[in-house]
Amino acid sequence: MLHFLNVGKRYTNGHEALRNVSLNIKRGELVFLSGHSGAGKSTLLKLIPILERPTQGSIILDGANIVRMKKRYIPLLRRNIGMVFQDHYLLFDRPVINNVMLPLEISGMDHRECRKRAQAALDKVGLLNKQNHDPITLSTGEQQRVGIARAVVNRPPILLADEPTGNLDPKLSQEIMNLLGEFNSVGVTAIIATHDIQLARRMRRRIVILHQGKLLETSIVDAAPGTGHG
Amino acid sequence: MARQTGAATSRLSRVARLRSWTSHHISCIKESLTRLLKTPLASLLTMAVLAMALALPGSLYMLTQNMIALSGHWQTDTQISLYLHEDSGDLAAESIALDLRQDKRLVRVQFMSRDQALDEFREMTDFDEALDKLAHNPLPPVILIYPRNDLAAEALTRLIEELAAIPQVELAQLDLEWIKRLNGILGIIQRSLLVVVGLLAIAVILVVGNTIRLEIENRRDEIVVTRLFGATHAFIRRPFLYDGIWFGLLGGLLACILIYTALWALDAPVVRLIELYNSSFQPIYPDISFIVTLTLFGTLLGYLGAWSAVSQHLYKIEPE
Repeated sequence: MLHFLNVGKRYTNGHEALRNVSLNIKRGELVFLSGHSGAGKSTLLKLIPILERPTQGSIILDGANIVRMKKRYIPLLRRNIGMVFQDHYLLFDRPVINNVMLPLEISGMDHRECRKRAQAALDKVGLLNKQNHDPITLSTGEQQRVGIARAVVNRPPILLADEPTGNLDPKLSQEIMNLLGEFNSVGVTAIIATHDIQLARRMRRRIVILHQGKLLETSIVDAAPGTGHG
Repeated sequence: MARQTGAATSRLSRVARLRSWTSHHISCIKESLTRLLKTPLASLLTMAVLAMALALPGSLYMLTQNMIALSGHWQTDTQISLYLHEDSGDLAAESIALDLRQDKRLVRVQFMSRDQALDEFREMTDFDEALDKLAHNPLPPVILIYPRNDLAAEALTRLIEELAAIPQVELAQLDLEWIKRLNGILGIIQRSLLVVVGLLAIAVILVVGNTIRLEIENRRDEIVVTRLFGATHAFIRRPFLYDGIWFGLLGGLLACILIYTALWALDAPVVRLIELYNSSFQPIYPDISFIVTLTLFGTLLGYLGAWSAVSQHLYKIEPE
């Protein structure tokens, strides 16, 4: 479903974030991207929704090379990708439910239908009872769960998470990972960047390790590759 | 793209898309107004600046309209004096006057015999004794002609030429020079009005542009997040354009209120002045079409201001 072919990324300041990375991700797979900070995990993730463009190589998504995708098609591409961030990027000027509704509103869905689906997504992350709260009143873990609900609310085929547990204690981190695993188990292809390799190992999925922009190793821990079963 | 889970968006029908497009517009209009009302003082200050910038050319326009009307009004008081040859008798003069009464371009034709002319001359001057010494009345018969006030300047000139061509007429006199000069001045004022409108229109665009630029800065997070989740440029700029439209619309209405207030303050002295001139002139007040035009003009400028801010600043905001 997603192929990276000899992908390189050199920033304008000369920093080489990715070098000759080739990687195959199958439909329904859950892949952890790990490595030290600055290894290129975030850069690799950013190439998928074209938040950055590679300076070399090609990225094939569903059979189409997205490297040269025209700017006006980028919004449509992004509507098929759910994103979870370390800083969760919630908007504090509106209640939780409106944050979750945002991707649906962007895609032009009827308002009532938006609300219904957002409530369903919040229910899945266990926060339906807090739908009308201001995000600022929620705990960090709850805020991250709202971020996940928002990422999956329009049922994207791909889910990207960049250090989703970066600010959380181990117990909450595990909860978040389990939650992401649940979405993967219903068919969503998920790519999760995390520096916490222990946590990734416990999930028993494929782990891709980056080091100074290079693909160091791909290891499978106690699970068959690409089964997509959690 | 075959997707098992599918993107909800791609399955929306055209009708549903149109409906959601409309509903996004409506919600943008509402939210934009709510946002303005949330910071009433700041919004009011911006609108006051816009209103003043719009009221100035608006009131200048009303002033010139009144002056044009007034100069037209003065033209109705225009009279042409036909001085006949000294040797033409009153009878001949009266028959000319009768003929002229058929002319549709004229409102009133007044015949003044030689004796009447002499009487009037006596009343107006102190030449009684001198006149008495004269052997005969030196004054010719006079026909006073009041042309219709809607005659164009050329038509008026043609009329005078025709009148002068009547054999018995010695002199057809009309003092139009001062009206021509007044029209010249009005022309300059109207031209400078265009310059003022142009300059203040740019000012309005800049004020709205700056306000929207600040608003874009304030909502940077929201722009970034919506962009991350696949919002198009049109979707992102829509609320800002409506902000500009609201500013322009409300600023335009406020400008109308300002102009009315100014006219209300001027009303009493103007009426007194008109009375002094014993004139029947009715001052022109802004009508509904003026209000609509000024408000639409303000709205258009607000939209342009928002557009300039959006096209300069919005696209620079990219998710990192």
